[in-house]
Amino acid sequence: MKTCLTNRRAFLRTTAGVIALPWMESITGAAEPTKSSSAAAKPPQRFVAMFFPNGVYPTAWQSQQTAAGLKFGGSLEPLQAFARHAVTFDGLNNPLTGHLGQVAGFLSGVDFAPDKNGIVTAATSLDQMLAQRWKNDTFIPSLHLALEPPSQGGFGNRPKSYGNSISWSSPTSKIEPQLSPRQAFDQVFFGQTEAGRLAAARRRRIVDAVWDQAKSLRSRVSSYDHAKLDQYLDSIADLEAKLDKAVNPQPRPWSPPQATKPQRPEQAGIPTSYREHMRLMMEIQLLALQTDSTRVATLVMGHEISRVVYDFVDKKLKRNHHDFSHHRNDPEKIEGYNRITRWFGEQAAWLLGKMQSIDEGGTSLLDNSIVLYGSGMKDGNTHEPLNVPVALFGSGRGQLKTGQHISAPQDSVLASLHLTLLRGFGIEAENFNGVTDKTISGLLA
Amino acid sequence: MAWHGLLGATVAADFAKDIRPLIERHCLKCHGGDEVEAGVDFSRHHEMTDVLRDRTMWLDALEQIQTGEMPPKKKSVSQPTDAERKQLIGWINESVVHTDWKKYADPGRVSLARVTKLEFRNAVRDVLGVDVQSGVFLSNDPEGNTGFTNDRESLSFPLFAFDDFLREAERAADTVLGFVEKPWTWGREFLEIARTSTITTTPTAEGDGIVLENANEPFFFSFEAPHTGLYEVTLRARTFNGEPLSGLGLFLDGAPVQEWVIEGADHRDYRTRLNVAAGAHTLNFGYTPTLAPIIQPKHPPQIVPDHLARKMPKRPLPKIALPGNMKDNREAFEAFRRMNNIIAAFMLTQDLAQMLLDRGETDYEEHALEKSHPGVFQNQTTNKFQTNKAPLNLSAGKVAVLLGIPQKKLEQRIKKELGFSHDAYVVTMKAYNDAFAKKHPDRVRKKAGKIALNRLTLQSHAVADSEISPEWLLSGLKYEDDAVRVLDELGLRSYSRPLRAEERAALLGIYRKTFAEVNSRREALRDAMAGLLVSPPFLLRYAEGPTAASFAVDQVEVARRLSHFLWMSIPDAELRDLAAAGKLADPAVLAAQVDRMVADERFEDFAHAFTTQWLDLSNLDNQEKLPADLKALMREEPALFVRDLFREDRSLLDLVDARYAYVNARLADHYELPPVSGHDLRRVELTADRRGGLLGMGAMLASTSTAERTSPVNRGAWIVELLLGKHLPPAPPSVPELKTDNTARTVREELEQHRSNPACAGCHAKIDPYGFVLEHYDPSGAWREKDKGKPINAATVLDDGTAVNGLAEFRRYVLDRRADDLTRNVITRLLAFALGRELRFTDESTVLELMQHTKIDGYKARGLLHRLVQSAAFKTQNNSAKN
Repeated sequence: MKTCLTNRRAFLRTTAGVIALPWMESITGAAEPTKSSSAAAKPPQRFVAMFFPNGVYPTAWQSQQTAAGLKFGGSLEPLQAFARHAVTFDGLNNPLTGHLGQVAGFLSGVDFAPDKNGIVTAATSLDQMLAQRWKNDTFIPSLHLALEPPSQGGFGNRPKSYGNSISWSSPTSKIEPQLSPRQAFDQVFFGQTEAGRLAAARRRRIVDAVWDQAKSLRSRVSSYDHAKLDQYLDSIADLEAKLDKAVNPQPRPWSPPQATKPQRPEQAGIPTSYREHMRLMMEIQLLALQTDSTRVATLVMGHEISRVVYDFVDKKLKRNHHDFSHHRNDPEKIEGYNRITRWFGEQAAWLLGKMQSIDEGGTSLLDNSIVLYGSGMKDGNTHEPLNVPVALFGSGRGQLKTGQHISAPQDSVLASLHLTLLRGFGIEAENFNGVTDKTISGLLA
Repeated sequence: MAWHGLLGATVAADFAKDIRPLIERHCLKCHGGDEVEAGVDFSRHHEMTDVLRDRTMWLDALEQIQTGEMPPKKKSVSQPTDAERKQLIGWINESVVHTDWKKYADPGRVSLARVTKLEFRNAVRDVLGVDVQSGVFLSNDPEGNTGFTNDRESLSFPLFAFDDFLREAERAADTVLGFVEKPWTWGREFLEIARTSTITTTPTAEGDGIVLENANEPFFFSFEAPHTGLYEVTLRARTFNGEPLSGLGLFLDGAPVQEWVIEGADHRDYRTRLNVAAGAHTLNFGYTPTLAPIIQPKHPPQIVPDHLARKMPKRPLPKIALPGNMKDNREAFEAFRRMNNIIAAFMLTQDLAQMLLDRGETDYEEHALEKSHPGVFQNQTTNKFQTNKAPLNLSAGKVAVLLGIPQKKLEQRIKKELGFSHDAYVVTMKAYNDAFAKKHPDRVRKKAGKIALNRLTLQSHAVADSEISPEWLLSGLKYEDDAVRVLDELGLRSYSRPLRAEERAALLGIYRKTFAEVNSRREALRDAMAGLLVSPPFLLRYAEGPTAASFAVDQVEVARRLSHFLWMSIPDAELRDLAAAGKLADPAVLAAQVDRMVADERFEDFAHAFTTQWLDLSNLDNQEKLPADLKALMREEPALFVRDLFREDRSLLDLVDARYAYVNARLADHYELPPVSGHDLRRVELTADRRGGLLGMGAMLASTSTAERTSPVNRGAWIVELLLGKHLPPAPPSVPELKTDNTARTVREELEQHRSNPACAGCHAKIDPYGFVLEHYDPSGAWREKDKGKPINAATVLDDGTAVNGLAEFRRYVLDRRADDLTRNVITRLLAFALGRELRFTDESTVLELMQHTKIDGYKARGLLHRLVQSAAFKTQNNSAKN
């Protein structure tokens, strides 16, 4: 491992400055495939997760298989136009503890808990498994966006702040999603701009100087210390490799055929309008995928203990989302609950519509992606773990059989879906985080 | 064969030839290879050095062989002959007890490793002159085998760490160079927000400010910091409607950065300093009512005592019946059962409360209505009993779905048919609570006040009083020569020696390349500074020297070891100058420096880190039932104590037997000491003997308990291992948790029962008695006379046969009989911390010498410190020593 990295660094140094920058052109203008790209290169597969909190009232999530295809009801109605791209399910369970467990384990199947040393441990999430696989092919391995800041205080005996993320890059590292549209934009695009390249080049100069100093140290310390010193050197080499990606982007076998001109959000900080905030975040996500800056993206549309008041959707909605979700079977509250969930459906529909309209050389961005839309519980009133609402949109470049509704066998868990998707992406895993080794039949093409 | 010759001289037995065969015959069956009883394993000992490495184990074995306890008298075990036993005992005494340790002395090798997170932050502070909280975003360091985070062997350099350190170094450089920007202010009047906002969850305006309550999350606002730098945040706030004291948390971009105790009914300013990167950020507030000091009831609530349960009117507890067609549905059954249980619990508690009210009985010691009744709990802030309606609602909701009727209808049915009304329940509880509060006003927790926020201001260029404004750095911005001068000074501070030619060249290289690229001298200087702060001599700790033998570390390294030991940072100018002049080789100079360093405020970082890590006090964080402010005070107390132990050159024995304690108003109240006023911890002299020393401190007592009960086993192990330095074998894996819920036995009684089992008694006789001594202290560290209604029994017999009763007698015992163990323990911990590595048998001669001199000197702490830094282990390194 150590020699591998240090050799790689040497390799990168010798090839620096030789390669042109097709990347930059593809962002700001029409792209010309480079001479080294193959004309038959296929557009890459993407994975997107759009999560909404607090579940959905059972009758507000309907999907029926008819002769003419899937028919959606309730909060899925706004997505009817994409029925032939969709796969809906029933019978998938998410048996984790309450609000916090059901969001933290949504893409990993494992709840979070402190281990014997007190370190909070969960499991790597599906999106991160894919990100780690593809990280060398894109500028950033993954993009994580959210709209509501983490809540403070305790919920039961666990911190509420764990309700803000569905992504874990390792069993002990929860990923904090980005809330500010401008910072999210910079995260994706700054390093790909001239200024970003210059900044990376500057950092690289520092790294070079330190590397030389460190190497010369080897002969002056005890041989027992070489292993430790090598850890330090490997860490420098790792950063070097990252900076090189920015300074010398590699020629890519595939470039997006459509030109885009990303607009940096004018406003610093978080917009006061939730509606505007949501739209901005979805736009940035779209841009990131479209420019192939990343192939994995997640959007957490609300904190699990959501305090957001959706009076901008309907003036009558005066309580916050979490409050509505605990409807106690009051018809008025259920109506409000459904109105909010429907709004999420409308947002997803906007994004899918845009993805569908982006042509990537015969197939659309939607065709080439798999979008997982859903929540960690069914009826928010009881935090119902059975039959949670999840739907897939897009076939991931033909991997999935779309336009169908699948009834999973009894006692199926969400992790089975994740395992099936992993296999569909070509990752041979025997089981999913030790939760299950069963897949969902009939999903993969 | 060992024998005492005519002149009393002994001829030593040879371990490999004579002793090992003995061990193989009589001991290895249970203590080696496949079977390893009580963690004692002789199979890996082939030579003398192996034996010396496991010296403590051999000393324990000696005891057991001498008393005849080992080998155990069982049929399957072959016993040694008397002659063989004598030979073995003689040999152990010769070679293990009375070894000439000087023969094996070796200064050892401290591993190369990175600095710890705290050392990095302090070092950057000392190089730049201001504390920019550098490294605060790095992950926490693990504790190594020494029990300390500065155990260099355990400090690894994770793969992404260099990126993180470089980012922190860049941030630090940007912050100090930010002083060249124009000063900037930003303010918000909160009332204005309340007036103009259209969002319905905006905080309400009250008390001449806006009021924060839990339901108002998320309340946050954004600002754009024009440059990376240190900003002073000033908040104007007050409390009202309750006790004039309440807690407020400030969060920057979602991470907590400050906790204030808001005091007083008039608006006051609260300040903090934040290190903020250029760009957009959000600030939000969190209300933490537990920060308010509250007077706790003297006894925690108990379950319904039998004598009351018997007197309660009996009535059949009705239930909602399971519909006929659901008998086979497991889930439905569970839902019904749960709902019925909850209804029954509510009814029982209502009946009890009503009965007590009718009889005017609100003054018995134990409270009924514990958490054991689901849905009923005691509110931490108000001490009032409340119901959590949620369990009933959730269950009723589920059952309603199963029955196929609207939830509201089901609730009406419960009210009518079963006669249970939640509202009536609440009314009864309120009446009971009010009656109780009237009778015992001192036992009721005070309610924390609401907080009204008036305005918030941010101001750039914030420098603390004790710091030097970084403007001197800005003199390096005109010409390259100026930059070289600045870099030379920073390099001198960072490395504690002048930059070498190649080092200066490297920094200058960065400087020139950046300047060529961006044509800004300021940016060029910034890059060079960042490069300096992640370079090997700054980020790593190591001793350069011959790789194959022992050598005296150079003066600069001595200075560095001193400063990392006593200040958790790099040497300052005075230390540097002395090192450069070679003066640290003079013992008098070295001693004077130690004195200066102990008196310096940076010594407090040492006191905190050493004390908290040595005594495992971080377990205190797991104590959920203790209020946050009390925990914070409990964490401070031992650190202050140890700090002054060294500062005032007190006896190490004070650790067990001190006639003083460190308290403030809150802590004095908790410890039942004469009242003290104010928030600051200060020393008070003690007249009674319940407090004083580590064993009377809340930190120790609470961190060794669970939330519900004390744990004499934990406390005993703490005393035996952490205080007296003895090694206890690990518990066998099959030992189950001690279950004490719902029994009428005290913890003491439970444990006595378990110890009557001979399989367990072997080890527990060495642990539990030490814990029993502290039984008068409850899980929060407060004094108690009773446990489960029975008087506390703190009399016990220790494993060496001494009878002690309570802490006072135990203190005498330690002073009279265990002073050596205590002293040796403190010395080994201190030495391990100072060296940053585990101790081996090659350090034994150092330890013994330090012990001897410390005892003669009256156990004085400062003297120990002086001798430690003069020792060979501290001043020498052997790069070929295996660890």
